[in-house]
Amino acid sequence: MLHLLHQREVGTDRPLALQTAQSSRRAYSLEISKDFDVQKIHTSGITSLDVDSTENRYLLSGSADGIVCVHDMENHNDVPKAEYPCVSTIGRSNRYRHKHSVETVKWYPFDNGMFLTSGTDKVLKVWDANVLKTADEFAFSGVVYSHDMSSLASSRCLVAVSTQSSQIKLIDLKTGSATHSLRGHTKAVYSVQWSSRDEHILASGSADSRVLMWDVRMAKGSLFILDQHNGETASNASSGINTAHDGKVNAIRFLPDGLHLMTFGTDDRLHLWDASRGRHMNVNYGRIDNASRRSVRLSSSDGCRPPLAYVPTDSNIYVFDIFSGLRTSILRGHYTQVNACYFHADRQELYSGANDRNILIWTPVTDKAFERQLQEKSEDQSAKNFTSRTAATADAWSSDSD
Amino acid sequence: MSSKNSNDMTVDVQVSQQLKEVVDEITNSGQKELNPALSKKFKTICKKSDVYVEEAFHLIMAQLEKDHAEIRLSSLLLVDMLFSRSNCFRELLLADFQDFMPLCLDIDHELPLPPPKPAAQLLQTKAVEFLQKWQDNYGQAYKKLSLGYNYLRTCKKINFANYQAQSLAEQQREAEKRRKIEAVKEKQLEASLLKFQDLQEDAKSCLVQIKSCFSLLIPDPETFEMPDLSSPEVSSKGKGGVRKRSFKRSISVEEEDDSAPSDEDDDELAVHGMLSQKYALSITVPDGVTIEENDDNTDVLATLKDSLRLIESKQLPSLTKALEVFTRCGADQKSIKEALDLKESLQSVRHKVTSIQVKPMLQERNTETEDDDESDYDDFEEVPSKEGYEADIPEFLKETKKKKASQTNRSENWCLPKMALDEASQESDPTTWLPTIQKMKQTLKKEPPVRTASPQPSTSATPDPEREKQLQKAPVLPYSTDLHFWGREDADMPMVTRVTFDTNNFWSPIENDDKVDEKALAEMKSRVISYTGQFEEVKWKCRAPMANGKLCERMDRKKCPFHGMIVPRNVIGQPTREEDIVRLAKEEHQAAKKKAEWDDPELQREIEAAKGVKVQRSKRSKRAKNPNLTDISKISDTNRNRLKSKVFNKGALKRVASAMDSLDHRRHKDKFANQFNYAYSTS
Repeated sequence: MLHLLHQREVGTDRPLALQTAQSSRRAYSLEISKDFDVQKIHTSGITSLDVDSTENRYLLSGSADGIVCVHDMENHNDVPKAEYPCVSTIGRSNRYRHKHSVETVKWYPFDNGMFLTSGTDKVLKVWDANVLKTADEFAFSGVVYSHDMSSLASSRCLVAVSTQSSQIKLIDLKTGSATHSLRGHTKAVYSVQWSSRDEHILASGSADSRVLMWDVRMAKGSLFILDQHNGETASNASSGINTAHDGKVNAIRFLPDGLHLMTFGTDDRLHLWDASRGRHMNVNYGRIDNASRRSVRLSSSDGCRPPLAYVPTDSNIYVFDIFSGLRTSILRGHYTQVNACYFHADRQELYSGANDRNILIWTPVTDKAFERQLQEKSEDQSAKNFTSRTAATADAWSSDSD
Repeated sequence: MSSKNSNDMTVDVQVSQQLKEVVDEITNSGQKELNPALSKKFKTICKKSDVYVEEAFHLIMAQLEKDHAEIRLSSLLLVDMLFSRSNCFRELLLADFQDFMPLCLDIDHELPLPPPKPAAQLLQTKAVEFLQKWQDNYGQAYKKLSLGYNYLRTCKKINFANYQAQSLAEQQREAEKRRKIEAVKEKQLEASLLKFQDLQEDAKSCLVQIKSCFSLLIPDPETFEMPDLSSPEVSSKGKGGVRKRSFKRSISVEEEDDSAPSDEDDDELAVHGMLSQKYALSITVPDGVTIEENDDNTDVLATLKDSLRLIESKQLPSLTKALEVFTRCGADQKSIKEALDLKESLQSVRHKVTSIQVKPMLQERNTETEDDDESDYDDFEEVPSKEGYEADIPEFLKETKKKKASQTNRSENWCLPKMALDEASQESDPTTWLPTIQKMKQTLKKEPPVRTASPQPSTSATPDPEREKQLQKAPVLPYSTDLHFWGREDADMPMVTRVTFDTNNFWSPIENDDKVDEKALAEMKSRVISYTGQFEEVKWKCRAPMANGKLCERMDRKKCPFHGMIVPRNVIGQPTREEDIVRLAKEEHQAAKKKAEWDDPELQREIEAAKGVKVQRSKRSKRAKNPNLTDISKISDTNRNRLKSKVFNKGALKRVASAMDSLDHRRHKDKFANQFNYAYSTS
């Protein structure tokens, strides 16, 4: 690191190189945080997580009993051990709350005064984050599995909503009405996401095991259909349908550069696609358990090279090198099905939510700052924690001589 | 990392083998505590290097997954031992902590702890105890441990402070069971409520019918035109021969007798023909109502009887059944009350109906029966008479028969008809015994008797000396059937007459295919000789030593079916005679040889190879291997399981299914056989 710093000072490297190197180092070495916790509010499984993109500070989380929480992830006081407080909650007493499970929570990309939630009570709600009241509600005919807003289209406020019905609805928040419905899937659509490169491009994954790319300006239908065989094998010739997976597609994720798309299906496979041409990249990630029946939130690292994907599988989170397909580590900490993970690009931290009601924070272990700080303070009274911890991790074999 | 880890990362195969043995031995011990010597050995091996710790971890986890609570308990004890000692082990275990927890805690209701139950309970309490201990000691250092601890406490509701035996999963299971029972009960209740509604309608209509019957049979006192209560009719005669006296009225009469007579009374009495009050009027009130059956009310009575039978045989039993279900399944008060009311009314009606005494119409019955007999007799006459026999039946005979028949039916003290007929007429009647005897007499006269076994040549007067000699030698036997048929080939064979049951087909040709009864023939020609010797009771036993250490108790005369010839044996069952000892030893040797030949594994293997069928008996090695563990299969041998294996037996299921199918098929055939599309459908 010192070497890199030096080179940057001298000017042989671009400033970005240091940043990339450092963030990669951190992103690769995630481990469960021993010092940070979020305040426990949820009494049911966490289904969805999101951090606002304006301040990168507020963690929004929705749970299976309809409760939505906002945690402030900023650690203002200098205490190394902290519990992030919950700043606002839409609890049971809130009369606007979701009646059933919340499936998706999303901040409005340009302002953290508003967020959108949707759930199995078939309603999409637009919330005023400050007063915790709904500004608008949209009811649908089926369970709303996911919704997304484009972070690029600042002039428009289109929300793509995927529901139990096979259509994808586009809702314009400005007019408060549904403007489009995208027809193409034959079964429930589990996941939609706007491209992070082009404000008109939308990808959707469905229970009919297809992944469709849409251009919302185009009226006639989908842009193209992703084919896992790239049209090469004859095995699909009989069905005549190009499928992205052999099972339901319940997770879909554009990489931050918007050039690639990751899809995850119940056939226990993770696929990487070229988002512009719709070609399967044929990266083999191996078998990854996916028994979830709801939409799963994948996450990918931002600003590190090579990029990493965080894939929830059962009670663990697998970390993959996206382009080589190698599994770099397994994050173990949850006890039941992990539903969502969110990578905080600025801090290189991962937040994950699971059915065991925990929101876990995964922090880089290269970060020895706290340890050092603790060591400095080891003479103080607060050192008790540290000494006891180091003692606890030591081996304790009895010293009998045989 | 510890220093000894870096010392030797290589695995000594021998040591790891030893480790495996130790783990196996400890986990299969079935003890509630660790054997100190073995655990010390285990510790010393694990202490050598983290490689062995890792190996031990995998071994223990493999053991922990076994479906036996005692194995799991011992494994848990080992886990605790290593957990408190090795950091490497802690990390390994915590990585798989989500898999570890349901193995020793009853938190997944679909994955209950294995039997035996006491060990499983101990396993749970131990696991909770250890978790608490680990959390206290290592919770800070290992985040996942504290997360798991919190997970168990908050999500699985495990109370660490005061651990109860009944965990959440158990409660869930029980709740599910309860819910199932509730559902079944509800279904029963619904069905019985439906039934009850039907029943109610039926019963009500039945009650109405009975009521109307009563009103027809026993006129209501209010429908009568009564002059006045103070001037009662002494006896009221209803219509249709029905007599009824109301108790009330009779009381009123008595009252009248007691009370001081007034002038008006006198007048009224005078109207009734009673001028003085010195009449003692006694009226006996019969216990029940007596009804005489006659032409007018016989139908009504029949209806009454029918409805009574309906109540007794159908409605009351099903009502009691429904009531039982109601009370058991907790029906609402209204329906229970309704049912009870209905039952009460039914019972009272039944009582009422049974209390009526019906005098049957005797005379009419008799005439009817006579008519019946007449018609019966007419039927007899129509039967075609046997050829050659009853050609001439005298007319008077027919009459006597007729009389006899009517007599038997009419009177109880009937007797045989007197033989008022002369002998001659009887002789010609083949139905009496006289002509038979006559005929026999005639035949006896014609030919000499051939019944004796040694026909005496009555014609020859001179005795043959040779014959005399033979006779002296010959045995004297009592006369029997074999002697009767001695040397008679032409004797009338015992015939079996083929009986044709085609009663409606009386013009069928008479088939003469009677068969000779071989059995009877054999019996005719055989002699039964009773055993004249002395019966000797068997007082000895086989007394051959058996596998269970006892002596054979069989009492056979000569040969035991299990142990061969019975020979004298001493107290412990050994044969005493020299030759027996030798013979038995030889036999035993031969038997062993034979068995060895058959049981030869090599031969069996060859057969297996040739035939591809498993011949060798599977060895029950599991039990023999771990004699310390409690046998789980024995525990599962409950009456429910035994019944289950019987009821859900594949063969039984198939049998029942096929029976049901055939029933269905038959029903279809019965119903729709006349419809061509069903008639030709395959089964």
